[in-house]
Amino acid sequence: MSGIDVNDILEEFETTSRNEISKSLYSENLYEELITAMINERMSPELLPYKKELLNQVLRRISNQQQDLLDSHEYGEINAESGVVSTDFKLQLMIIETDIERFNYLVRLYLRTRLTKLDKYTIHYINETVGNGKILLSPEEEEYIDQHFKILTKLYNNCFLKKMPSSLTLLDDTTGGQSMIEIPDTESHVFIKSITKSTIFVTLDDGEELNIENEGIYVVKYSSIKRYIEIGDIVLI
Amino acid sequence: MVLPKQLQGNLMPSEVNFLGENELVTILPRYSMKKMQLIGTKIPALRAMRREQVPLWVALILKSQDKCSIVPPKWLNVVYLKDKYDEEVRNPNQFSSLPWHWLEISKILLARAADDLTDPSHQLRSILQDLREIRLVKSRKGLKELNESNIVLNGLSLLEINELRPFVLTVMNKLRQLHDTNNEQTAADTNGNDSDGMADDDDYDDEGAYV
Repeated sequence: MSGIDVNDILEEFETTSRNEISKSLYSENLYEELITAMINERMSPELLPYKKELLNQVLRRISNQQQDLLDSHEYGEINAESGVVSTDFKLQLMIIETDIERFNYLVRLYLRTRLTKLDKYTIHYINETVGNGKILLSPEEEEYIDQHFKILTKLYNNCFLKKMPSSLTLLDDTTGGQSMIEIPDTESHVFIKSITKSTIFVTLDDGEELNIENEGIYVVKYSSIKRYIEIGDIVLI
Repeated sequence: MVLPKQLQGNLMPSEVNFLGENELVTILPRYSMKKMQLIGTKIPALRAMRREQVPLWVALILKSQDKCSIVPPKWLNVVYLKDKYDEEVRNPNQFSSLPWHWLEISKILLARAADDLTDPSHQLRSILQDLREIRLVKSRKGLKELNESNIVLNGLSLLEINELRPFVLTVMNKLRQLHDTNNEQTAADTNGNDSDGMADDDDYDDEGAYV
């Protein structure tokens, strides 16, 4: 009985400490988090779960900072004539503006990469998200993918499908051993880097084992390291 | 809206540059500035002649206004780089460890802050070029080792990886497809042989040797 207690305590301790770590990571390394998210998304063959918390936080901070910037500009204009505003003040504003722009750029890259995948594998991800508990898409993306699919089917129908025999008009036909639904190729190779201190052992298809060491750079199949990306021990590069 | 084709699956040099600009560098401010809270980082309060660490892009803004000088990173001098070059020559099968963004940062600093560097820029450029070339030769030689399963590329920097990526990934994915069809073929053959009986087993072994 005492054993169970100790385990419980340990577990509780672990989860709380992990939460604290992840919290502090969010506030301190927003930049790195966003860059990692962007590059992971860019390099992975399939869509990764939407980084809701990170994006919410980044977007909120961007808009806060923009508001501050507007206020400062106003302050600057009011005081411009009296000569209170120094060049230093302008310099600071410039740094803040650049910072906002850099974040905007990263967010845009991240979202656009996701849209690319949604466009390419529309039917696949519509099927994926239906009835699956995992949150893969943001609400906006869900709306986008639905609309995209509607427009696409309408276009196909109006252009040529209506003139074809009805048995050939299915867009998600899987008969005849060939699926018409394009799915991401999770077996394809990716460049990875390990960012955890401990060595990761990965079993490859042919039964061999690959030891992925800290800071090591490898090219491996995406499917074999997928779960480490979810944990964050491995990043795509 | 979607990402242009040339941006998919690879990073453009300009983007690698962008990422490099986030690295921290040490600066020697020439004037004071209050500390600032940016979205991602904090800029510490700057005081004249007191070293502080800031992201490279901030340093470049300050530098362009002549408000600071940039302390060159400890690897960006001829002696250190020469050492690395010798190391590259000594270990023909290994890359020496250089910073993740060495090419980008050295290029930026040579272009924007050449007066802050300890060595004359033509010497630096020449040793950087030497290093780059010897590493290029190595990575090209390494392409022979490409297979369908995995490779190790320790020591390469981000820009060098991006140079290799399109070629490496296409080749490896092709090899994988060939490998997979080959496996299916062998599997199909063994199944066929089983029904044929013992006599064909030799045949199969022969084919196995080619694989």
